[in-house]
Amino acid sequence: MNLYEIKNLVKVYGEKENKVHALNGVSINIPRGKFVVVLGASGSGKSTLLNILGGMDTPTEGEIFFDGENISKHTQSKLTKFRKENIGYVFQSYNLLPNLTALENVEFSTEIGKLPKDGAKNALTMVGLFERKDHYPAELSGGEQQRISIARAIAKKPKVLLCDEPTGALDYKTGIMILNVLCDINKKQSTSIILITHSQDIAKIADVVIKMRSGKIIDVFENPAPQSPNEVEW
Amino acid sequence: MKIENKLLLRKIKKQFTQLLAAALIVAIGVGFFVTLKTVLFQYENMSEQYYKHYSLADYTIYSVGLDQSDVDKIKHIDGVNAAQGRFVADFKSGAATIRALSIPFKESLINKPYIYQGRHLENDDECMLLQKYAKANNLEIGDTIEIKIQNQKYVFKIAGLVSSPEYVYLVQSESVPMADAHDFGITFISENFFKSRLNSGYNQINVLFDDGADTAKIAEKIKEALIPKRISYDLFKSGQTSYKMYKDDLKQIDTLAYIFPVIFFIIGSMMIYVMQKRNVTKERKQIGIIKAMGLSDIKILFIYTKYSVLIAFLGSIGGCLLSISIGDYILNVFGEMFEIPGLAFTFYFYLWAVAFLLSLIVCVISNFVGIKAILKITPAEAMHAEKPKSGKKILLENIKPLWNSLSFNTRYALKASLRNKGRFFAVVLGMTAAVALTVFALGFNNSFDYLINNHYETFTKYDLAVSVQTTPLEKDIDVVSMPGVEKYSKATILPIKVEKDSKNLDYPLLITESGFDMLDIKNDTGKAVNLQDGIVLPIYIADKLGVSKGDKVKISSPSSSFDDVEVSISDLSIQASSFYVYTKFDFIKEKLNFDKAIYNTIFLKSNGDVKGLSKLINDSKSVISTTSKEQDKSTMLKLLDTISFMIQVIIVFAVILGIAVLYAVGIINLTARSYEFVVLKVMGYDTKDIVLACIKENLFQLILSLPFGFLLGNLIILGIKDEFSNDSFALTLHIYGESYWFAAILLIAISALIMIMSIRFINRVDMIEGLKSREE
Repeated sequence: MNLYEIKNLVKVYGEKENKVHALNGVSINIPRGKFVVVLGASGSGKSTLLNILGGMDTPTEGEIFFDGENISKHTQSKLTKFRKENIGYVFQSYNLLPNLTALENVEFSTEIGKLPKDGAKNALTMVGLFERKDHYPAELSGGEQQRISIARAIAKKPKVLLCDEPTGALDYKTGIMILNVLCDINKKQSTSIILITHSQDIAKIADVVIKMRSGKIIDVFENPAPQSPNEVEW
Repeated sequence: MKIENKLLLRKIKKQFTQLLAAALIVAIGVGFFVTLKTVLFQYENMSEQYYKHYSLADYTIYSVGLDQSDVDKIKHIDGVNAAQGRFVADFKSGAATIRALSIPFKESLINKPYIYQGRHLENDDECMLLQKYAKANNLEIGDTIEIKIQNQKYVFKIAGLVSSPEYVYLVQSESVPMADAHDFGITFISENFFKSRLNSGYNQINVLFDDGADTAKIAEKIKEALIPKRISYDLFKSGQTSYKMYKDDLKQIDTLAYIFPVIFFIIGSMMIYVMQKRNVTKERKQIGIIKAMGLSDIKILFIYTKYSVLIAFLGSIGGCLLSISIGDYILNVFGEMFEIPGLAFTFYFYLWAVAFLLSLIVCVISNFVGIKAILKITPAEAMHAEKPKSGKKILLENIKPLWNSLSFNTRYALKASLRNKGRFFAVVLGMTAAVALTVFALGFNNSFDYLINNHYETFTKYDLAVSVQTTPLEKDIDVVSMPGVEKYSKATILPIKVEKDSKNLDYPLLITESGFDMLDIKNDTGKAVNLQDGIVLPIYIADKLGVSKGDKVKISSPSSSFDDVEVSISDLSIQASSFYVYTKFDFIKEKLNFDKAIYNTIFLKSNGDVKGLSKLINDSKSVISTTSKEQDKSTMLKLLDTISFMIQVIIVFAVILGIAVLYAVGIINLTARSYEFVVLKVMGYDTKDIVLACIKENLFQLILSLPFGFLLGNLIILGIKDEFSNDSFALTLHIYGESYWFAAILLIAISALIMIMSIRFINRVDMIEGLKSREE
């Protein structure tokens, strides 16, 4: 069974003359356990798609099935539960809570998911930042903050990790490091990863690439030989 | 500790002063409520116990020549629980007036004295003295007092210091409801003394009714049983002056217990609303992240609600501690006015619980209104910065010539101040409340001060009012020819009942000679009232009876044997105190078919030495007692002294309120607009100009707040003036100009203080950091 089955998804923002079609009839199946990259330029609809996949937003029309369950008609409380149980987010601007230390940011995620606190420590170790656990976000570099953000996302053992341009705010070297962490998670934990980017080069590491333009999918292809992040350059 | 609580605690640490400011406002509201309600409950409980255990009479008959057989007749009437006769009269003791009450050697049944020190009477030459009078005159157990009775001096040894349920307030007469304990006292002397030395019977019979008895019916039976004896007048407990004042007090305290907390709770809730709305705006992205992580809306609301619960909790604890610290002091202040044995501040758990519950409800509701936006935003929306609100034209912009004539700085100040209406009106509301409280506190004092000064300086023209033995009008007594008397007027004061339809009121009737000028009795046109045919009623009494000039009322006086005599109201007088029903000897003599007129009071004007004249008069055989205008005035002014503490407390709270609101909302305003300040600075706008715009904004708020504050202060006094009016005086609104000035200057000073804080903030704004922090 596919992780996601998306049928004719439409998302319209605004009303009357101000209507903007962010998604315009998107249909696709996303396989489980794969590293999927959604590729598109700014305004192509990739972030909207990611938000709807993660239950952060609802479609105007169409259906999304996650593990066979139609989530497009979910109420806000059901979507909250869905996010809590299934989704891990990694944002471009990290979005760590500034008043919490690195460990507390990760623990918050396990606390919401009612999981053991050890998970948080393990996740921090996995991203190689356990020794920085008592630091506040403002005391960490961008790369470190993004690794904490990844640790926060994986600590609750989500079925899928949704990454919104996770290297967008980072320098090349740090970006490679982050992509390595994500690939590791995908391989070692078999966690599905959906990453959105505008970089053709980053798409080379994906198992599946979905190309978008003007709210529509224009191409979908499987990468016969995904590259290691270390081989990628941008 | 849960992470969400850590988040909350760290936020509190950052916003501690704001949280404290809001909690302080709630604390003052709770403090007022708990203190005044505790005072009220304690006063009521202790008084009712005192009245019950010391058997305050339910009913009293006043007459002359009563004896034990009369008492026995009353005792046998169904519904009468107990009856006891006594002799009561005012005598002189040096310069003071002493009211002597006879009491049996065995324990009294009714109106029992409460013995603080010493013991009950055992001998004729002993007395029990009111403790208040003893303290004021430095008298102790074992000391002696000398009382002049029927021109003979008797010395009594003080056996006990007491209080009396009849004299919770030291009422000397209707016109002197709170006598100065230095000049007026109560003493209990043995019944045997009056019988054996003075051969006097009783002039009062006190009665206690059975519980649930039909008091009006029993009173009628009592009066029938005493026929043919002439009853001067009768009085139910509800009509007893001290008891009436106690009941009025309960109403007054209860009114105040609601007015102040309501003001502070409104301001507190406005502050919480503004603070939390701002928090949600500022933490919009954080809310989005938490939502994205799967925390439900309800749980997020709950996290924010904990903040307001903490304010309610701190406010309630603070308010209750405040109540403990000032409660005793306030009771001591009240203790200057009335005397209840054992009255002390106490702990009413349920009152504290109610106060906490009330503040919790207020805080949580205002919190919810402030944070309800959390429910509306989806996590995806919350991740992006909020779209800037589009600017709106303000009213003034439509008046183009005026608007265009304003400088950019003024236009910016006006538009900036109205951009966030919630915060703008929170400041205006806080300022208005601070001004209103100050105007109320000072205005309340002014109104009393005006009442006293106007009454004693303008209305009262005499120096001494001398109560004398009843004498035919045509006959002069020695008093009028004493050296120092400039002029005098004879008059009769007798208790009457004025009746119109189902309403009836007991007031003294003042019968005067033609040309009476010892009181400046004027009507509402400012002219002297017409004392020709009929009676003149003070407007205060006329309003209570629902009558006006020209109407007819019935008057009755058992002591003067006239009943239900119909008279017309010839005029209405404007006065704030000493409520008499006025008429002339000629009219009353003709109307009631009296053979001859008598008088029992002389109003005197001295040509200089009032004290010397008073001393001389007190030595006269015909004189029962004297009261002087200056003495009465100083007693009333002492009442002002006692309320001055309350006035100071209210002003301090008004200042705290002003500072707290302006500080908390000011901080929010400044941090929310730091981006805007930075942009202005980057564009090259001078810091001085930004400060100038802020000052203009502040002025705009001041201009709005001052008139509303003045108005609200006036309205509060108008709203409670009836509660603070009684049969002795009617409070009217009169606020002196300097009170308005004081309130305005106080607010300007508070604003200036907060302005200094704003200037420091604007000067410190970091352009680089500020550009990153766009929030609204």
